[in-house]
Amino acid sequence: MTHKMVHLQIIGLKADVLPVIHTLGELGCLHIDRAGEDTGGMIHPLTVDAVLLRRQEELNLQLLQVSGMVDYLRIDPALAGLVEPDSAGLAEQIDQLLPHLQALVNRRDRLRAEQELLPRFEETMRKLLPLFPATASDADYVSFGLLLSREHAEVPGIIQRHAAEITGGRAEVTLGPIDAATQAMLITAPRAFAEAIGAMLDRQDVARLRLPTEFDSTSPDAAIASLRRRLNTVQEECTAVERELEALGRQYGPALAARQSVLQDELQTYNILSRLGETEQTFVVQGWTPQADLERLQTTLHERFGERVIVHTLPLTEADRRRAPVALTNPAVARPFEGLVHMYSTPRYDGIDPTRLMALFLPFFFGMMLGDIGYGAVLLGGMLLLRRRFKPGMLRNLTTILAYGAGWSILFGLLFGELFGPLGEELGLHPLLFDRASPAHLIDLLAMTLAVGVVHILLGLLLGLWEGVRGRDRHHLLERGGRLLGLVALLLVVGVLVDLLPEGLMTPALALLVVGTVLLSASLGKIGIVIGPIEMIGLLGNVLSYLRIAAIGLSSVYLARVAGEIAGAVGSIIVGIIIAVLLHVLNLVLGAFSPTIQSLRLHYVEFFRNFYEGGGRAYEPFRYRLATHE
Amino acid sequence: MENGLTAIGAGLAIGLAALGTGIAQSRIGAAGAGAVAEKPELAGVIILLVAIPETMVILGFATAAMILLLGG
Repeated sequence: MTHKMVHLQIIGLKADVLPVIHTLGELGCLHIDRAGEDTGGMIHPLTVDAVLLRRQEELNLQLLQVSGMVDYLRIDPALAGLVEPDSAGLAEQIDQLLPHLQALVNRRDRLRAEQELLPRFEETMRKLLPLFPATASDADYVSFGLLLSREHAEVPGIIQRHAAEITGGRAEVTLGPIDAATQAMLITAPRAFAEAIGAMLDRQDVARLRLPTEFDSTSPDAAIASLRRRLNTVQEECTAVERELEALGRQYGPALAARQSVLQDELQTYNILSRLGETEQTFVVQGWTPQADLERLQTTLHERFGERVIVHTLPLTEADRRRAPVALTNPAVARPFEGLVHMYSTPRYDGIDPTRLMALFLPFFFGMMLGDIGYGAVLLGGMLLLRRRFKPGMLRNLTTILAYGAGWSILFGLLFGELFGPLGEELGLHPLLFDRASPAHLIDLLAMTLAVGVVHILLGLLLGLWEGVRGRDRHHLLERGGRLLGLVALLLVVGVLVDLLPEGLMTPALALLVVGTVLLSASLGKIGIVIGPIEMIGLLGNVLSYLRIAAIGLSSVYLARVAGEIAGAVGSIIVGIIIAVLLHVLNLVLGAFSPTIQSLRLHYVEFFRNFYEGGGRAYEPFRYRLATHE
Repeated sequence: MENGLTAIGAGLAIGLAALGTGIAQSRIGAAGAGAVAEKPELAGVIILLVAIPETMVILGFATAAMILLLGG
C-alpha cells in the first residue's frame, strides 16, 4: 500500500525563508521539489546572495574538518543525540581539539610508517653485514649501501670504476645477494670522498639504502642493535597514541557527533534553497506530504508564522499522479520486504505495491526449498540472535526475512520428514506429506512446485488484468488477458493429457490457446505475429522455472545425506562428527543463500512481469538529522 | 547397460545446461559487477539479469528428471 500524498505550495515573505526551512526540517514530512517549473514563468528560481554562499562555503569547510575528526576517532554518529547540540562552547571545544588531534594522528602515522620500514631495514642490514670491510667501523671512513637490480648486470662494474676513479683506488667495493631480483653493493671509502661519491651515485641514479639519520653514523652492528631497540619503543609509543585517541573519542564523541549533525543540517538548509522559487516579495516551496501529516504541517507553520506563511494545496492532475513520490505503508510484518521491492524498482504512486504479496510468497518459497526442521531451527535461532545486534536497516530486515523463511522451513521439514537430512528418518520421524528425496515421489514434488508456480503466475496475471482495467489500458488488457487465457488453456491441455479432465475439453482448450495467442500478438503490434507465439511459449518457460524450488530443495537434501553418509563411513566417531558438522554448516550456508536468491528471482522475473511496472520515485522528505537522533 | 546410458543421458542434460548457464552468468556477472560499482542502485536489475540464464539449467533438470523417470 502507498500513502495518499498531497501536492502543496508554501508561500511566505522572503524575510521568513530560513526560519520556514528550519521548521520544515524539524517536521521532516515534506518532499521538496524544484519550484516554479510549471507556473509559466511567474515563479523564478530563488537567488541566493553572496553572504549565504560564503556561509555555505564556511560550513562545508567546517563539516570537512569535523567529519575528518569523527573518522579519525571512529565515532558512532548515533552519539549525536546524547548532548545538547547548541550547548555553549561546543564549537570552541572542537576548535581547540583540532590541532591536538592533528598532531596525534600525524605522530601515529609516522610511527606506523616506521614500524613498517624498520624491519625491512633490519633485514637488509643483516644481509649486508658480511659485506662490510673492517674499515667500515672506522670513524674516518664512510659507507654507502646500494640496491641494484640483477637485470642490469653492467651497473656494478660502472659504479666500481667511478668509485675507484674518484678515490684513486682507495674505495673498497663489495657485492652480495639480497633476493632473486636484487643485489646489494657496499662502497666504503675515506670520509673525505663522501661528497664526491654521493654526487656520483646521484648522477648514476641508483637506489641508495638510506638508513634513518639516527642510525647513519654508527657501525653496522650497532646500527642493527639500535634498530631493534627502536622497533620495540615504536610499538609502545604507537599503542600509547592509539590509547590517547580512544580516550579522546570517548571524551569528545557525543560533542563531535552532535556538531557534525548540526553542520550537516545547516548545510542541508542552504542546499534546499536552490530548489525554492521566488516572486518579487515572496519565496515558494513546492512539494509533497502524506495526507496524514498535512494537518501537523499546517498547524505548526500557522502557530510559528501566522498569516505570513500560506500553505496552499494543489489539485492533483494526471501528470502530478505520475510523478508523485511514493511512501509505502505496510504492516510491521511486511515492512522488511519493502527494501526488496525498492531494489527492483519503486512502485508507481497509483500502481500496486507488491510488498505484502512478497512477504507472503518469498518466505514460503524459501521454506519449501530448505524444508528441514533442523536447518530451519538453527537458522531461526541464528537470525533472531543476529536481529538483536543489528540496528534498524537493511541487515536487520534481511535477518527478519530469513527468520520468516526459517519458520516455513520448519513447517516444510515436518511435511517432508527431514531433520538434518536423513537423521530425522533414523530417529523415527515420518513425513506428513511425502519424502521428497525418494525417487517414488519425484513426480509429486515436481507437480507440487509447478502447481505453486501456476498459482503464483495466475495471481500475477489477475493483478495485471485488474491494473489494465483500472487504468483503462488497452495494451495491458490484451497482453495480460492473452497470457491468462493461454495459461488456462495450457492447464486444460495438461489436465486432458494426464486423464484428469475429459478428452472432450481438448478442442475448447486448443481454441482458447489460439485466442490467447492472438490477443497477446495483437498487444505487441506489427511484430506480434512473430513475437506473440514465442511469448506464449515463454509463459510455459515461466511456469517451468518454478521447478527450481524442487531442484534447489533436492540438492540441499542430497548434500545433507552425503554429510551423514561420509560421517558414517569414517572409522573414528569424533572425526565423523566433525566432518558431519562441517558439511551441515556448509549446507546451511548454501541453504540460506541460494533459496533467497532463487525466491527473489521468481518474484522479479516470473511474478512482477505480469503486473508490476515500478518506475516511481521514493518519498524522501527534507528532514534534519538531529531531529531523527532525538 | 541401458540404465547406464540413461544415467549418462540425464547427466549430460543437466551438465551441459549447467555449463551453458555458467558461461552466460560469468559474462553477465562480470559486466554487472562493473555496472554496480558505477551505479549501486542497479543491484536489483543486475541480480535479475544474472538469474535469467538459470532457467536453462532448470530446464536441464526437468529434462534429466524426465529421462530418469520415463526412460529408466
